[in-house]
Amino acid sequence: MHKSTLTICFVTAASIAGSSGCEPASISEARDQLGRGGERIAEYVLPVARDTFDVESLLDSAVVTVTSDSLLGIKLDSRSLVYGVGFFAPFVSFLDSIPIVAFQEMVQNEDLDQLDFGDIEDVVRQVDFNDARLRLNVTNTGDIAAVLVDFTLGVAELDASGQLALPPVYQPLGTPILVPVSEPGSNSLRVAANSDTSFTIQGSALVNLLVDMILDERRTALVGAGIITTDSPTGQIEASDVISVETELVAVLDFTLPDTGVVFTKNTTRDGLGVDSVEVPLLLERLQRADVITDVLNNLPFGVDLDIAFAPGDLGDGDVFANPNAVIISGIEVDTSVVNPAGQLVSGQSSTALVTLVGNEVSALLRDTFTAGVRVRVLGASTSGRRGVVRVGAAALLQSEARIQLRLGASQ
Amino acid sequence: MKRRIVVGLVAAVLAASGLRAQTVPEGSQAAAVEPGYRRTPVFRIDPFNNLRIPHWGFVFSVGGTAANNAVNLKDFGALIFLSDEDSLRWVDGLDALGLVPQGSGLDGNGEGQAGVYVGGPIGRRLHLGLSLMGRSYGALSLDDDAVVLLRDGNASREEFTLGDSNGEGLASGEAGIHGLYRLGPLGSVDGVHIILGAGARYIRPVLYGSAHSVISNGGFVRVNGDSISASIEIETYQTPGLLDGDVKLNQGGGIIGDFLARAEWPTSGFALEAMLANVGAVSVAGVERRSASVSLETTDLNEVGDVLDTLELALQDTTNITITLPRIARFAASAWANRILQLDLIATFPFGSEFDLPATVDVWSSWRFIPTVPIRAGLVFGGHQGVGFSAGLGVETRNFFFGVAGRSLGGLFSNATGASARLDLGVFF
Repeated sequence: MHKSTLTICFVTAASIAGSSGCEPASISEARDQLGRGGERIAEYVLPVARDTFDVESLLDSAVVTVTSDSLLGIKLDSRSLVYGVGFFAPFVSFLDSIPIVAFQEMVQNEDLDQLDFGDIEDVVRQVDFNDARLRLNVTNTGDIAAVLVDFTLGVAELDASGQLALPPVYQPLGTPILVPVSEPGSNSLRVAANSDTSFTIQGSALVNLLVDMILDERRTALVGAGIITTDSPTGQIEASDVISVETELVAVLDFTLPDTGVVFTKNTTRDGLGVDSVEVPLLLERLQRADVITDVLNNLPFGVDLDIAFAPGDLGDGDVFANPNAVIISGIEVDTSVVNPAGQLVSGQSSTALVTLVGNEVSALLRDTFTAGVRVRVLGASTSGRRGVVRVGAAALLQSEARIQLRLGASQ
Repeated sequence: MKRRIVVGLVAAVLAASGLRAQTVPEGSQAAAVEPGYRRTPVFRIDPFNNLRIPHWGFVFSVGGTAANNAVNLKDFGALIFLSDEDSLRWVDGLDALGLVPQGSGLDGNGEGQAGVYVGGPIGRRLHLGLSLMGRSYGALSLDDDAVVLLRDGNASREEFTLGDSNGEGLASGEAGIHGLYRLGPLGSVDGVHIILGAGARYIRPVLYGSAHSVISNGGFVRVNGDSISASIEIETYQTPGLLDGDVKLNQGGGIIGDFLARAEWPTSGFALEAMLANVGAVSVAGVERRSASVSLETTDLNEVGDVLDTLELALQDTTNITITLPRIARFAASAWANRILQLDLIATFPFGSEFDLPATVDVWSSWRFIPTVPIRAGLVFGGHQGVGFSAGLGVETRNFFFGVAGRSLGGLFSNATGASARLDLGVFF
């Protein structure tokens, strides 16, 4: 340093370095000066996420139900098939094997929100329910016993005007699926005079069909058909008497997944760290290493593979993975839990996923807003033949932290 | 090493004194310098500084000292340069934090003064002086526990605190009256002269501001991979005009005292001195008390930003406070063994103030190749910066005196982490 510079610096000491004599000649020289404290690595550990992803929270709370055996299910509001036996046979003292076919529109595609699978809709679309329960309550308002013979429930497609074809097309997608409504070992169901009877029957095939049709946005109706008769020797039916079959559908989350699993995506728009865009390149220059470490305790009867994509800005529901500016991180695996052959969880499984981010991957997180897309592949356990039964409270506990190392000080 | 130098200099001073007692004849150059000029000027507050002048007159003084333990003048220059170039970035701040010594935190303080003095001798023994001064004091301390989070990260520790971080500053106007009374020579014509001094200054606060943690031990900030939590509350006091420059002069006041005792052996060329300054307290009226608090428990980093965005210092009330000025105790030994050289050893200690500057030991050598033109050079030890270098020049005549001095602390010139300067101009009748 020249003597004159020294002098200037000294004279301006009292005014704390306002002088040009103490100022560097360039930005890089200024940065070298501030880095004179010595090179160091500063490591910052920050929380990224700490969440419990329970299946129940992924569903519309209005349709979630818990079965008596603590399984999680989705219910459809009860609907009734009502047949006015008195209207068709007023003042008849003896009824014997009068065939009646009752058609009642139950569910149409306009009522899709009645069967809302929430965030797991894509999963539901790709799997079959192993356990779907029809809780029936058959009511007889007449003064004579009613016997339902060969009474079945089925799913039929409505025409474009919303009308049910007669006879109904029970199975527009293949082999007709009809669920018999009868007592065990019999083809009939007896309901005493002025009484009702309740019971639950399995109807997984019927429900799978119903779900598929609804998700395909086909106009759909739940219909019943059969013969109503009586075994009473005498009796009287009034015009207002009805036989009604109230049906409540519960689809238990008991899936069998394909070997390749099922895939669904979900977007989330998050605020980034809000780092000024001019700051980002300099920060990236100093980036030594950035890891996102995620610990997962998987208490779901499934395993999960994740792909994550980040893209700057708010993309809404757009495909983040297809965005040209997206950063895609693939291959994050959450180990499958221990599951018994019936698909029930035996024990949870802990796993840790470490993702190391490089410069441009970090930059998306530093800006104001980014959209994160998650592509989830849900995998079934081989021990259960890919079947999984979701009990109430089933969840994955997730904790993510970021470890960011910055090179600071000299020698940048 | 420092201790060795100090001890050596003390020994030199004492040896020189003894040598003079035996060898310097009366009427020599060593005895001829006006005794009032033997009191070497210092950079920090010295209410008796101008009482040394031998005649009635005016003295205009301006000076100040400021230092910190981390950033030197070139660092300041770099920060200013980057700011001027609109290129000051976060990482530059993180780089600069690397300058803060580990375990020490960031400490800085300073004081400045400017004013006029009028006074002179009344008879042979009494000196009286009146002064009007403006003074400022400031201190900043950022606890290492607060710095370390950004400087080193939180990988190896999770909890941080503001600790003893605080800042305080005062600008005041003052009017003072000080007197010295000389006794002696005692015993013989070459005997000791005893000088006793006392004075009072009326302080009128002009601007005041301070900030500190309300929560004992500075609260806490805990950051780990699970969550971020914090409990911090900061309280500030400030006079209303602090931020908008609307200075008000009716903001309290107080009288503080200064005391001096000095023993001189002029013909032997030796003096010892003890001084207490700024003894007392000052009230500041109409101070706005503001506070801001952060209470946070979150796993979402964005929530931290939201909380910080809404953070503001909310006005709580207006109150009167009492502050203690930076009291100092100064002990000095001076020796002028021969016709040219004078050595001074000056130790300054703080005691009990919000603005304490750390203890320092100044070693001055004054060279009078021309008796009326002292050239001064010295070293200073202690403070925030360890070692500093001092230099000065004076012109000391019957009709006027002029003195200029500067000090580079913690390094030379642009590498200094502190600086001091002083300028005096006296005109005598």
